[in-house]
Amino acid sequence: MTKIVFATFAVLICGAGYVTYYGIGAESMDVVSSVRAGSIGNARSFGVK
Amino acid sequence: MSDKLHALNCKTCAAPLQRQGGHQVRTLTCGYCGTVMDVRDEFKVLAQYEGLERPTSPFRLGMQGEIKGVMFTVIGIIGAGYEDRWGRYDWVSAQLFSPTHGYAWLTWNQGHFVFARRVRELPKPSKFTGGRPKRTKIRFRDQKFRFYEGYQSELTFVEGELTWQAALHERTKVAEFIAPPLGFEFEASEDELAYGLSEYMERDEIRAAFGIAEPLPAPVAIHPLQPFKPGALQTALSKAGYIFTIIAGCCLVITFVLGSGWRIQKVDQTLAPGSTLSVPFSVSRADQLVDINIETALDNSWTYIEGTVSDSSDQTVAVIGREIGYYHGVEGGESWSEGSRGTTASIRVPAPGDYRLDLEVDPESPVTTPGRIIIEEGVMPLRYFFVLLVFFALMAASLPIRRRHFEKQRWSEVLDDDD
Repeated sequence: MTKIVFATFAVLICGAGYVTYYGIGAESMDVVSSVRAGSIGNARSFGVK
Repeated sequence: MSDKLHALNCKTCAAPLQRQGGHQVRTLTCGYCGTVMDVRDEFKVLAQYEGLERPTSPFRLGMQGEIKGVMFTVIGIIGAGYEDRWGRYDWVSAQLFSPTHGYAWLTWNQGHFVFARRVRELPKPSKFTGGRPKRTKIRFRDQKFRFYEGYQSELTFVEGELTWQAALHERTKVAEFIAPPLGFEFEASEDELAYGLSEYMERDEIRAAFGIAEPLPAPVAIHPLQPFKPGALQTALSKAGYIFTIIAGCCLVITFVLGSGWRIQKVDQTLAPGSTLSVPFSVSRADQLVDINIETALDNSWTYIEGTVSDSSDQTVAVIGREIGYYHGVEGGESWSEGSRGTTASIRVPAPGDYRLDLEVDPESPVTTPGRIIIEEGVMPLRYFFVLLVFFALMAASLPIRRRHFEKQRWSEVLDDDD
């Protein structure tokens, strides 16, 4: 039982390390990312200076 | 009568009785008619207790079982109890006999078993006040025992062979001290002060030892001598929790130190309503987050900033819209603050290369404020290790919390007593 728990916790730590290093799921929720080139849907256009 | 006599008939009802208890037996009580006979005086009738109701217990005269490697026989059974303002408490004790190890007791109390033997060694201190010495501790055989409770028990049932001249309704003052799974008792009757060492026994162990086939009632509450025995899973979770709390803590610190990323652009610009700003930056790796930090000097005001991140082909990568507001003051002599002077947006770019951040301050923003835009790459979030740190800490704490709750239940019966 101890080995199983330790192994599980080790997997959790390693998993946390992986998602932390690559920032998976940590992008700001309110940032809209484009998935198609040149289109952002109904977002405002600000122009390029 | 000789001690070698093993079978005889009751002097009153002629029921067949057994003598199994060795030479220290004083009385033999017939389980059929309640006649108490003096074993050392030709079985002279000393008393008769008619209509005694046998208390419910798993014990029967003649049962044999091995406890701690010693074979014992149940030679006598007594019922006892006491009453206080919280209720009535009854238990049944079996007098045990072993030809090689002498006499002992096995008590059945609300679903729990306790094995006890008289001891001749004196505890320290050895004085028995007969009162209720709260917070008193004694030491016996290098073990500390803490006072649990004192009471006066009354004998309510007798059957079989006993090592003293037991009389129905006789009273004994008892002081119990505990060091689970062990207990130490002072027992004071009119003419005797005795000491006993008890030990909590597991139900399955006693059932197997004595071949008790009938189902036993479930234990009621926590017995004073019942040891705290966590399951294997709980022990493993707590043990691993301690170690991984430290590991998660270290990972959190390392991430904090190394995970703030490195600066790839910094621009200072006044942010006036309606103004725009274009900030170029280069990202060397696309597999980690990029943080866009916008800092202002707002004071009791707000502004709204929108931004677009585009790649070198003017393809929009991300769109950001943030309101920044900071308010503070003093009210009732206490200062307060609300909001923040800056904001951070974490984005992910599709590929390494050159990008541009175009910002526009909302024309309806009421103030102009100095601004600083800092862009960092290689940023690592702290949240995951923080969540794990909290989770592992809870796992580590689960066993001590459960143990504390168990001990609270153990002492709940006596802690409210202010006598």
